[in-house]
Amino acid sequence: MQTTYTKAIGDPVSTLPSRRVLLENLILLIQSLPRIDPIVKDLNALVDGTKIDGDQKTSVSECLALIIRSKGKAISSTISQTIYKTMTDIMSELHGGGTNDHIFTNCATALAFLSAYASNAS
Amino acid sequence: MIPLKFAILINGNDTIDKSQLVNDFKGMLVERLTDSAGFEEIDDDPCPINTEDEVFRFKGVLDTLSYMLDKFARRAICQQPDSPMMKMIYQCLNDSTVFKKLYQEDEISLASYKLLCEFASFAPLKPVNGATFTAECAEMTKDILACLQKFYLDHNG
Repeated sequence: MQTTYTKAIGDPVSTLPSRRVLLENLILLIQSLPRIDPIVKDLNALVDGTKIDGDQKTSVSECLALIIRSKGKAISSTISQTIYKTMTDIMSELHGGGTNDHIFTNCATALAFLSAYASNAS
Repeated sequence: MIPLKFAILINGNDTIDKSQLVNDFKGMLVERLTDSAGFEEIDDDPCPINTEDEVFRFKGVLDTLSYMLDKFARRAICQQPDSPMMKMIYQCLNDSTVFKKLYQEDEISLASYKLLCEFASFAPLKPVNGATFTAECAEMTKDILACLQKFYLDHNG
């Protein structure tokens, strides 16, 4: 299920309604998973990469932030640091000027949620 | 900066004392709402809406708040309706008197009316235990509804 969901939410031809359903399903799914590193790693890579466009990145970054809020404690320090770098790069506009305000907000929120576990990440 | 600061307050880490952060955030938010909530009729420092840029940009602080609250304060995993942070946000909106000042206007633009409607639809107005709103949320909701009632005929359709 986790492979299906992460693959579907990162599908370049996915629609907003399908991504909303996938987001809700992923949030439910992670509650029963002992390890969520593979999911957050995939979501982070989607936000970081160029495979999907701005609207899709908005959904994926929102999903990533909510997963961190919901189960950030289960994220390993290595993945936390990777997410931290991606989020700070986006907020520093290293990704260029095409980042919309929704993505900025989601990434800022993800970063703040991640900071709750900062002592685990260091 | 508003989403980042608010998310730090609601990130679930209650092992540190956030009282000073909360006070600073409240001061900043009330000031920003007063200066540039997004209503051209009442903003102290109204910003022109950039329609040339193809990349989405928020049109004022209220637009930012509505997105932030809708996405990250609606779910129970993030915030309960009677949580101190939700009360604080609604109290800031009340203290800024944006909706009260808007109500004093004789008429408002279509853009302002749209922003008002968007905030009303996106803000998570959740009753506590399914019964009543918190006092802060109730006051804000009453002000929004008063504005909607006053201006809806001007922008029907």
